[in-house]
Amino acid sequence: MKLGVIVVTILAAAMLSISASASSPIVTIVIGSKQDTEGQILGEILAQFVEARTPYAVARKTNLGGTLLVFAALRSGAVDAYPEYTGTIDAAILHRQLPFPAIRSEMQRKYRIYVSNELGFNNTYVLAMRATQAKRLGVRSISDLTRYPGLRWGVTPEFMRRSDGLPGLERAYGLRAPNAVDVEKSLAYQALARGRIDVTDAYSTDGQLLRYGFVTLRDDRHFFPQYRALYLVRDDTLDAAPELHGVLQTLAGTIDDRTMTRLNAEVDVDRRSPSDVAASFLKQRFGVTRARPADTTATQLERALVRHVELTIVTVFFCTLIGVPLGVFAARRARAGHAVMKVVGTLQTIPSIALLALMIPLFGIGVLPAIVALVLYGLLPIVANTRAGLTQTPEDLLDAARGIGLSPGQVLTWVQVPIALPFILAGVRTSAVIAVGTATIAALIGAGGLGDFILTGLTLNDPNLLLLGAIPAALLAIVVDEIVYRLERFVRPRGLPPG
Amino acid sequence: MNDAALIRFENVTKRFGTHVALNDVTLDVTAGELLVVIGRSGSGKTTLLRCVNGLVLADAGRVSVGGTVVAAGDLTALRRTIGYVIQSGGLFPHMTVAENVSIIGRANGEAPGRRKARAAEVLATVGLDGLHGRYAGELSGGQRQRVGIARALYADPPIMLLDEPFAAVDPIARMDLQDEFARLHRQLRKTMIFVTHDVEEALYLGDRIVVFDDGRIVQVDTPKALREHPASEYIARFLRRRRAEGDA
Repeated sequence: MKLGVIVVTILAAAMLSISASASSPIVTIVIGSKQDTEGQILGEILAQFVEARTPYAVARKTNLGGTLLVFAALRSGAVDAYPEYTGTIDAAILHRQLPFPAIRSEMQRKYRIYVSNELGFNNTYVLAMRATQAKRLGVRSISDLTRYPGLRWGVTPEFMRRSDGLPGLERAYGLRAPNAVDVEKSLAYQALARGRIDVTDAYSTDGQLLRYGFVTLRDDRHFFPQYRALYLVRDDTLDAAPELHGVLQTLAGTIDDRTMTRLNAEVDVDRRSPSDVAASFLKQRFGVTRARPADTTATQLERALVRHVELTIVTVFFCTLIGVPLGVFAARRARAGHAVMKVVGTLQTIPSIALLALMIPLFGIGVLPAIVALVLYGLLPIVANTRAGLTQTPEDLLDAARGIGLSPGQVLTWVQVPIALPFILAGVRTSAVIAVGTATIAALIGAGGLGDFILTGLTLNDPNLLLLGAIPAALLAIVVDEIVYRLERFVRPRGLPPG
Repeated sequence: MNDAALIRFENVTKRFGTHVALNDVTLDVTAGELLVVIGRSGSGKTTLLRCVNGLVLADAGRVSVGGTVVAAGDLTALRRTIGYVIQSGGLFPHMTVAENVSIIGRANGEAPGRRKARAAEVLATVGLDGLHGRYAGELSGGQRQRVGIARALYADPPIMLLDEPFAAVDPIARMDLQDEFARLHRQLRKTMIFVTHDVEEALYLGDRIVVFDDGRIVQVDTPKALREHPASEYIARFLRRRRAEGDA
């Protein structure tokens, strides 16, 4: 009883703080972005510009996991605007290549989504070489490469195989790259810098190109598709917040390839935060001063930690609430139980991005879909342990319990469950530790938590940021394990052997 | 047929797969008697016992208790009127001795105070005072069996079923238990079916003895008649050997 009261109180507090942080009285524009550096910078630029120049409030969901998730979030209204590329809209959203005016009218017609004017730069595939070698050979465009079939190509595995990568390039230019090998992206730049390879593929606005001083070759036959950046905004949002138009119009055409590459380099090479980089760009270009100072890292970390703890507690609570009855059911019906175990086991194998994408149409983005996903991932140990614990009740005790006249319900709740309790609690403990780990995926769907630091650290290739999320997560896992262990000893029925 | 029969087996057959545990068994148990069922392990004697409280339901024939056919009634309600003691004791490890003994009171919705008082009473009956708060893991084998018997006595059932209750207890403690059990039976006069594979125990305790072999009743007799005219090689061999030991 006492335990129940404690759990319910903690849970209520967690739910309350989650819902409180989600509500706001004025028009709030939710600005999303994917996890990559460029997406985060562009998201921040829009967010800070709106904060400085319009009366609207801004909420950031600038760490969403990929086109699939962020576009689903935009469609559902969980996100109001986010930066996207023409090439991605063609390939992943409309599934055909269209000129810009047609993209705009199709998006309007099919999704009621406004496609802003282009920002100016084109982040597509390019080929990169060492500046010295390119100069010596007189190579300035891709056509020039046909004269040097002996060059050593080292390209990313993806580029090696995609039809819009090396195979198509060879056909379009009549090129031959017989020595091409595939190299991981991070290694390719080092290999190129050290002269181990001569040509590699890159993205045209990659900040690392500046760091190494590589030159990029002109795509003189326009082989690579265009990935011109712009913002997608919901029509509804523009209706409710018409001053957004002015902001989008002002930003149009102001970021060229060089500028974007430099901004990316400021994050990837100089290790500045996307929000700082966006702020100095806006200051320099438009004289905009930041309306709201960025949170200090300590504040962000504290908020992420609190959110992570909340996510874990709520997840474990619901995992137990659902998992134990499911385990009981599985233990009592052999056939159906087998099916339950299969389903719960299969849930584990669904990639988190896919599961989260499935959640968006049902639950939007934020805390709710994150918790649903985390609960689905956390069920297995509790269901499995409950089932195992119940099916292992000693035969003679079952015999005695039935034989002296306990009803089937009493046999279960008075005898089987208490005897299985150490098993069940061990399952809860495993589930809790798993929840701390999987709660990092919540960041993919805008629910925050320590995953924000870990994911950003991964995409920005910033080990410090990564550790800032990973170390508290690891410590939290240890603490949670210890707490549940103590709880386990506290509620374990006396008389049972220590586990 | 005996009109005083409280428990009646009529042409009862029970199979487990291809194994025939009970083969056309007909038997009456008179109210107030202590009927001992003896036989080798696997002879079907435990199955016979479990037919009475419906833990096993007959494939053919019928078992009735107090005139009601077991398979047709409410099994849970029936079992609450029948004490049941098993070889291991079957004590619930997460409950104290008092909680184990009074669990039927709890199932019947009795108030805690009443349960406590009744538990103390039956524990005193089996010679266990002051062990109420112990857990099963803290008891000796003999103590566990006494608790098991106390639990069966709790609701003062007219019938008790005992499945080799003393088999797992060391020989000295077993003799004590047998003596006390005999006294208890004389005092309470409940109808009891007592399964054992120990001929000595059967001869000592039984009002009547049923000798079981291969799913069939071989002989039903008083201990005296059994001693004089053993109908089975199982009993005869045992008696010869005991006589030889007595002569030595």
